[in-house]
Amino acid sequence: MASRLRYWDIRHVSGEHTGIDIDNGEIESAGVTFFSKAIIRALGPRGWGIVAVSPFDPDDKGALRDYLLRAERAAVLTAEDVVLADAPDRKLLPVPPVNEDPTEIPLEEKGKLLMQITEAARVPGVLNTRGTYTERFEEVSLLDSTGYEASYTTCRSGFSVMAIAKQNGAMQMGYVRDHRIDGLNLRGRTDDGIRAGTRAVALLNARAAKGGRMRAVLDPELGGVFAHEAVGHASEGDLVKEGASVLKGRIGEVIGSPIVTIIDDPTLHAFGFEPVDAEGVAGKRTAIIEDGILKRYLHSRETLAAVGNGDAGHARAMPGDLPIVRMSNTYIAPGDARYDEMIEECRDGILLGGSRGGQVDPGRGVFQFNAEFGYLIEGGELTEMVRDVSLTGEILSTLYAISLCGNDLKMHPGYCGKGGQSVPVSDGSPHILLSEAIIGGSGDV
Amino acid sequence: MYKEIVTEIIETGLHSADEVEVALLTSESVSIEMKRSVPAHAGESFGSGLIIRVIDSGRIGSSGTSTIADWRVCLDSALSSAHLAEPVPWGGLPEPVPLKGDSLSFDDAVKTDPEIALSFCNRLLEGASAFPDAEVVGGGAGLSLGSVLLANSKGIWYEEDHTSVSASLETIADQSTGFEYDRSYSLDIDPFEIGRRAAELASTSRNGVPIETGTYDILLSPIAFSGLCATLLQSAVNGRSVHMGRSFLAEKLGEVIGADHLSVIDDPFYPGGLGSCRFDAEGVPTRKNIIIEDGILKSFVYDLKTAYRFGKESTGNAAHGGVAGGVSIGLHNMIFTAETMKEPGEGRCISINDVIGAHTANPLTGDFSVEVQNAFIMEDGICQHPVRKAMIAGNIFEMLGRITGMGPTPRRVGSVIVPPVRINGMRLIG
Repeated sequence: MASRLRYWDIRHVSGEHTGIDIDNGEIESAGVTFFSKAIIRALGPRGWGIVAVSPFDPDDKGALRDYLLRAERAAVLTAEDVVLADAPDRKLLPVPPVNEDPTEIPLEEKGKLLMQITEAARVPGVLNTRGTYTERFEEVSLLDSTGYEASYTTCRSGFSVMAIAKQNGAMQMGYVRDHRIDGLNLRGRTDDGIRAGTRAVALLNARAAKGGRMRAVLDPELGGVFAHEAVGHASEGDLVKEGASVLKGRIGEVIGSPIVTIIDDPTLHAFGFEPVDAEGVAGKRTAIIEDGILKRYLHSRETLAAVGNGDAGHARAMPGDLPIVRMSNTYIAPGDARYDEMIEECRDGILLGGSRGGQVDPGRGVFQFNAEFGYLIEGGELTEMVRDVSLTGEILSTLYAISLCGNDLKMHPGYCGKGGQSVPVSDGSPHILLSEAIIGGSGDV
Repeated sequence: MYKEIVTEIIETGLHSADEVEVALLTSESVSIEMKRSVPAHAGESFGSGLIIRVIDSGRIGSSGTSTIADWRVCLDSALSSAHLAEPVPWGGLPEPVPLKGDSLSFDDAVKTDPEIALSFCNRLLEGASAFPDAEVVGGGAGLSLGSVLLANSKGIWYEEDHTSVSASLETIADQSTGFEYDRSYSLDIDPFEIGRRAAELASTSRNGVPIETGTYDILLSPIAFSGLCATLLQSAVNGRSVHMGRSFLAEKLGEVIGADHLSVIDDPFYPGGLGSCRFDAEGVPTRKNIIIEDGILKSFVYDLKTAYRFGKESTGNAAHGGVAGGVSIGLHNMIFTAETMKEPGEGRCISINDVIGAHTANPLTGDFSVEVQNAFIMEDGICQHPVRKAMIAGNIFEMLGRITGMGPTPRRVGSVIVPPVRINGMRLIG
């Protein structure tokens, strides 16, 4: 095939996406879409030529030749000297065993199960409920110019349930979601509906939080978002390579308290699991921070060659999109503190729980994320519930503020956006105590 | 060939359903992406998509596929999808009407030529060189062409073309970052100015000063304002959210919800608007919808299904992007206007170019607290000192009432068109 190419690869993903949308007790819509997309990367004398096609027919060899020629021509316009590091470990990790294959369950039955969860959210005070189910069955095939070929299938599925409570003109929402890679998760989950409904009602009586600097305890979900936003993104090798991360050039430096260890592990059987990454490299557990010291970056083959200090196997992509360096399953390693001990140690401050998402500017080193709810901590005890509370911080100083790590690590699934692509990830943490946090809220008292 | 398939899909679908609608979307693009200041990726893309909707006894089903040749699978899937959906009092797909003029967000001078993208990249870098202390982190430029064919069993056969031209640059100076971009349907973007502005933001945001927690007058750039307000306001005036009890504005039609000089219009014919189009995703001709006028909430927006269900009329706001290829409700071009201030930065205020975490605002109530990005202490329109770090907190709906005016020149941010917005009495946490 095309001869002046130093390397080429193809990632072809075909599959089906299923969705169900239940609004106030009625199936609003439910159905399936089909796709077959490929991304072809070709490394010319300098940089990458790239062709993205949808639909892609893997049996049409003539088309493939044409795409490679196009990619080769495109590559001529580039000027970056791209080098790929060796990443010899390319064996597929086994996909987690599936308890109940979602693709085998009729859409109608999935609709009924989702309806049960959604209806359970209708606790007294709740006026609107909504439930969504998403299922992504994907068949991934990889092929490259070294002769490497691999293919695997995954099925990620899950639901979210939302409840809206109303009282005297005020409205609040509660929201619970769960996504999995190891099978259908819709059975026996009505408690999640109740939890969403109860949260919405409780928030009606919660006050807006008052912002300022204070001690804070983060629950495992929010602690996970903290690991993801405050550390994970800044450790991505592409950002380090381009000079867009405050963690650039700090390998070996102490950047946080000695109890802080943060890991990204694509081999973990959680929502961000991948059998191999989007370049066909087997992922490995990468300890980004160990005992407060920055140890490793997350890499693709290209960023590993350019930056060093870390592991390839962290390149990920949406179907038909370019592999970029991403997190997979990111977490703060557990310590030995008990939850009640942490609340007591906090004394006066705030407990933050649940996540409405976050964002980071890794170059500036500033992150922000929002909790779904909070409780004031007064005299070492939880008191009043507060709402709409957020947290910001600076990457290089915040990690010193982690003064206790709990023993109750828990992972939470979600989706992470970067470069216009959204990929499944999980974040996790035990409860953690921050000796100082900048809390945002619109309350006055 | 595709056109024959569309006719065949409609004919076949009518054997099993009352009505059939087919949308055929195609796109192609080229782009150059820079890593630091060097072109690192040169890319092309080619895509197509088929979306089929069927309506049978008021049950709406849909499916989509990227492989048009597999349309029978897609049609079967749409038919089974209809079996599951709850029926609505459906009044039929629209009949064809003559559409006025040509495609609105289309410029035939736009070609998918990578050399144009490369020349834009060079202009970005030239612009950035005005601030040598700002390093380029990355950026790029791209051009794309797209087409939509919408046909239904009532005889609609509408076609529309779209073009898009975009460029962006990201910079850093010490630990201060800058980002600027623009996107247009024509070649009228100014990559030199985008590059210059990105570098200026990083360069001038260095050595930020702390500010005290307190109440400030602020000047939100079009980017910051649309990031905070546009998505939230869109979902609050979405007819489905309104009637399902999921909108903060549900019972406020006819009430004052903003400053008495604030107006928000959904204008699908706005010249140069990226969301401009003559028909919506269901083939309903688009129209200008006044959402807020003089601070008063005037109307909500609807697709056909929601309109039929709640005794309203479609406002031409159906959009692709619902579950399983179905439709959702969205605005086309969201135009914000208010009393024009010659100098919206008059007196003393905090000018905020962007925020971190706009999407974390409470989607129902509008409460938010986010970090400011490239913020400055401003006096009489001149940035005096950069702000090192601050959070801005408040409520988006309340904020609409505190708008004191807007600058003279609107800017497009995606499909939102708004000038800089002056808002008094906002809480900043230093």
